[in-house]
Amino acid sequence: MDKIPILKMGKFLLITLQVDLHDKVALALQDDVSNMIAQSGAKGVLIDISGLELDDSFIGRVLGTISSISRLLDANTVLVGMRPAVAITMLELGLSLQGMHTALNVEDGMELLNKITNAPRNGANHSRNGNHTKR
Amino acid sequence: MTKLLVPVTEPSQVGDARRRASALALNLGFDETRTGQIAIVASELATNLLKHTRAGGMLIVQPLRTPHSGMEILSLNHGAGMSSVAQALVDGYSTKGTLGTGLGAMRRLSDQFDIFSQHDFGTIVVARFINEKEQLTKPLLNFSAISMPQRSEIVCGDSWCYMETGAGIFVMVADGLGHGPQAAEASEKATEILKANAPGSVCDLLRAMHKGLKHTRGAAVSLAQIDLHNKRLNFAGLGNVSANLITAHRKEHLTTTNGTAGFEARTIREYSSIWTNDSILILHSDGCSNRWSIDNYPGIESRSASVICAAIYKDFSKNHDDATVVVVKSHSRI
Repeated sequence: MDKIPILKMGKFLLITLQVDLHDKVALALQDDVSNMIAQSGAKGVLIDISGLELDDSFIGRVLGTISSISRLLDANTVLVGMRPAVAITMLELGLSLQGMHTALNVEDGMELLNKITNAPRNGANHSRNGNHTKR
Repeated sequence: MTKLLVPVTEPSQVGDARRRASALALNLGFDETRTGQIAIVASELATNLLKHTRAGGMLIVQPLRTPHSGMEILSLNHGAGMSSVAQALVDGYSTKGTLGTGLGAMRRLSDQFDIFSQHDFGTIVVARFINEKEQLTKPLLNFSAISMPQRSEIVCGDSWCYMETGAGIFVMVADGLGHGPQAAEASEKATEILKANAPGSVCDLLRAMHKGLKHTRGAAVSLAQIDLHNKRLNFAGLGNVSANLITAHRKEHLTTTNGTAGFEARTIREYSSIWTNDSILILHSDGCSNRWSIDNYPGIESRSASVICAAIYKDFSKNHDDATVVVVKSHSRI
């Protein structure tokens, strides 16, 4: 069974998802990301989904779970490379990925992660209020 | 699980088609004579694909579940089309110099037979064989379903159901998230819950499915209830199973609410439309594109549900996902 590589870049983790991702592999990724955040103390996870196909509806659900688990472990998640068709499918299936941030490409995604992570921690922490898209 | 689809692009596959059809017929309890006749039809359909088209085509050999009992063979191809179906059905007519009894013979051997052909679209032939011993009453509506797994899977993650009750006819398509056995588990659970709880309001039934699917990975579900007595169709759907009601050439897309049964169902809403003798209900999972239009197949609205189902499947299904198409209409008056 293939495992998806998780790269460490400073205090962030970087993951790239390709097409034909098997469901078991996606579930394994969930576990691996959680463990790695806990072990490394990473503050952010950047997931590149530009390679995902339309029909990966279950992957959408897994992404939501990864984001929620990461948040519990004090890390933010940014999704990069969301394609319009994928966005529409996820909306129709109620996989709104609330609390998950998005960016158009990896550079913007890293910038966003830096910004969110370095934001002062006070009651008005904007990252908890929904999606942010960096243009 | 045997594959339902038999590609027919070269002569050795004619034997495949015949064997597949015989095996299924025997399995379903047809006697030897009838099985032999079914095999002849399968063989003839396959031979026609090779004889009359350049690229061949495919046969779907599948059992008929509720409301029927029996099997059907569908022939689909993307050829140039037949110039005159009516002429071809007459014994003795042939464009290839053969006896010309093929189509007529198939029609005589089948319990239900239908054909549709169009220039640059190709031809669809449907032959149905009913198991008289098992099927006691005629279904209230003309119903057909084609459901195929994603190309690398054996099990289809989509599930469909047609159920006649005292409170109307329930028709449902469920699309389990992702594909494979776990998707199938989710969609089959939806069917189970429908069978156990119907009749009821479509909203209540959908809520029951949302509750019952919590331990599965979830499914998109579209559910319709056809009330023939009051001439109404009630509909509720969660997710992206496309539901369409065709009346007098108008394609009405029935609204589903965003969500996944078993995972997220913030709103479940019911919509009601009129159902007439000319109405056609078409449900399909997202493995089939929604870009089809009945107007591109002039005359098809008066053909059987199987023909309409096969036409949409043939031209709009994508094989990188499970694809299911379900068609329901009133029996034709011919």
